Amino acid sequence: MSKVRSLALFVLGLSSFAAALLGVGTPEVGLTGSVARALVGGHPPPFTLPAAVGGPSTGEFRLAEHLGQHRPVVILFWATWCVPCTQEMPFYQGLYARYRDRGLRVVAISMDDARTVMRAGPAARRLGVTYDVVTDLDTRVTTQLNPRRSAPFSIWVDRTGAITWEREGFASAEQRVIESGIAQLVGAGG
Amino acid sequence: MRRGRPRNALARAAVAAALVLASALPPRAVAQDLSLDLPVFGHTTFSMTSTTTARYRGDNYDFNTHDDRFGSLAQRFDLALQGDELRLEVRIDAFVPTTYLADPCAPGTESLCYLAWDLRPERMTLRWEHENWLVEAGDSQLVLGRSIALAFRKVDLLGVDTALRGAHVRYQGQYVRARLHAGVANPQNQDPIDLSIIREFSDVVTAGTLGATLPGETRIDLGLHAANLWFADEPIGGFAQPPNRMVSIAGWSAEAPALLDGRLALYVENDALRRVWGAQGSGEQEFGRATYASAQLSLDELTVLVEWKDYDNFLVAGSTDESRAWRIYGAAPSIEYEGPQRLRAIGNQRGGGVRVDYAFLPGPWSFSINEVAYGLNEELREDPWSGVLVSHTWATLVRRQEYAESLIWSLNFVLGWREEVLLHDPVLMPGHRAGELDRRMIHGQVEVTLGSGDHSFDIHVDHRHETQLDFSGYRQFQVGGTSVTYTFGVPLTATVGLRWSDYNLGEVTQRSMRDYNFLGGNMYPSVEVRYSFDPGTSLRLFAGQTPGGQICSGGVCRVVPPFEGVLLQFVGRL
Repeated sequence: MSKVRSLALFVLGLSSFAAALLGVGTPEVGLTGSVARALVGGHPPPFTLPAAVGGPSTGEFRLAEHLGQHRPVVILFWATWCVPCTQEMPFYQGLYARYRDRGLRVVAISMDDARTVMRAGPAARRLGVTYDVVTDLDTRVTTQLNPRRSAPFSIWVDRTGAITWEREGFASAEQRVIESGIAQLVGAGG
Repeated sequence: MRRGRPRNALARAAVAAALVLASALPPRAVAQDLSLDLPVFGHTTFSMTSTTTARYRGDNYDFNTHDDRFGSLAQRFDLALQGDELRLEVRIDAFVPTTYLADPCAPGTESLCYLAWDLRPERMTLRWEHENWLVEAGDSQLVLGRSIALAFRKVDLLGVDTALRGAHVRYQGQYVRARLHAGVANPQNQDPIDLSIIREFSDVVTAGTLGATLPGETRIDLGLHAANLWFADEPIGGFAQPPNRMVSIAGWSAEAPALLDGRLALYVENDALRRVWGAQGSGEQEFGRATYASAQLSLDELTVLVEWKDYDNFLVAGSTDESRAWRIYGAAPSIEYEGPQRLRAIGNQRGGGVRVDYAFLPGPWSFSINEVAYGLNEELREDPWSGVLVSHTWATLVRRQEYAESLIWSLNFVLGWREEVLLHDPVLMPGHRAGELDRRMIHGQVEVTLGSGDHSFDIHVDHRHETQLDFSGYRQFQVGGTSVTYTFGVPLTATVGLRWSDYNLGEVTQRSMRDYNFLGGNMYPSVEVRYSFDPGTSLRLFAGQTPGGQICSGGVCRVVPPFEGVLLQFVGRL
């Protein structure tokens, strides 16, 4: 029975460690109210990715040009085969149009592989997107920022360059919370 | 696993208590600013994603009783320190099944007892980025060109997540780009589909690329790439083909992504492959090649994409009949539908495809029409047009959501027809002739979303009807499912689903189906609830059944056993 006890303790220890780390701090998130802001810590790596061919942008997107420039940045992970992503991207297009003048930047990182990567740019334009759409064919940036490789997956970076929101999935029922959160992110109240 | 032994009952209870505690402890995942100043790293922030998965798997109805009715706990930490220019990542995987508490397998049946506990660091990377330079030591992802020559990336559908463990140096200037990689192939620790621990072969890989952007107003990129793979010995024989000793690839690519003021994008890539193979170091060699080209015309509302592929005896793997998805190191574009059809002979195909997209901008409606046609031959050394002719036509109709409306709705509708016709008289199936049907798939999918305020519903239906020729003649089967998902704001998502499948039931599930499920037959009900404590922290509960069957991606297929049981997953982030 000693190996049983050691295994159980090992499992419990690992999970308690996670719980202890995750449970620190005072909750600042009201998911059903008007405040939608979580301090999730961390700074994103300053990645550079190529624009999706046939998409709304050209050239490369360099995150380093925006971080530390007092611009809030929204990073969206998506794929052409992901149906909830096709709901999330037009929604953020509306927010981008509303707050672009306040410095908001949005970049959508396609997780498509070589089979579907050529469809990413046209798919984004079809969704009415005008913000940057880039591809991550080798999944290097996806691995760093979205280790569970979820789609959709959204990250908000505030004007200091710190990540303040990470969220797997999207449904239109979330729009009020996200609208409020983005308004706070750009400093427009909410 | 033997059941009902009293001395295991207490132990199981202890592990079960640990599972419950592990999943229930963290009420919220809200952290303070986790920044610190470290030597070398400078101003550094710490981040972590924790995934705790408790699972109970019932009978999967195959011949093996050692992987039935067990609980397990999997804990994964994705940890990162992000400094000014340095980043350190490590993933820690831990897995413990309750079968660990069972008596050892009888001699001769060890392979059936594949569930084992595991605790290992994985995906360790130290990365330095400074202006145009990037240096990585540890695990890195790698794709050469369009993944034809080499692809170390994740394929979620098959549970493949292979990295290259070694060193990577990259220079990315305005006009010149270069990369060098050297290391060993490093698949993830555990197969997420059957939960077995993946055996690592330590295949050695070196690769390099050199690219240039021609100066001028119109961007044109040229690239050269090369790779060499030395395959480790296969300790277990029994494969039809002798193992490869070495595969060498060299190729070039040219891309003009924005001709005609951005309206036209061209890409072409050509690769040559040399394979040294044979048992006991006999060292025979042969050659293959691959060509992929695409042209995309993008007008305001219209997009036309034309693709061509010509893959002849081109497979980057340990043998020409490699079936383990994580030991196939290339993923050439299949140009196929991103759906469930059985793809095969990815290294021996020739043909093309056309896709037409039209969007009624600025309105919400759009549609696409797709047609692909190509020949394939599962014998890599034969001409692709001497095997099977594949044709696939599918169309989509999409209405995206418009958020200015009080009632938000969207539609995604797909309808397709796919046929495979024999181009030769099949040797193994006498009585059938060239020109006859080999496979047919008719598929459809509808997704509707309705939302208002904090409430939304997602309704999904998919179905496909397939006919396939096998040794007993033509066989038909149907696979599909439906689900309804309700979402309340950010916190709550609940899904009720029902899937159906009569695919391969007699072969995948080799034991009596008498007691399989309470709906009987081929129905697989499930319920899933996800509750988010905050945007980064969620608890997911799945209970029910999913059908087994064959899934394919990138030319590789796997047979997945049916699942019945409970899955509880907690995800938290710092």
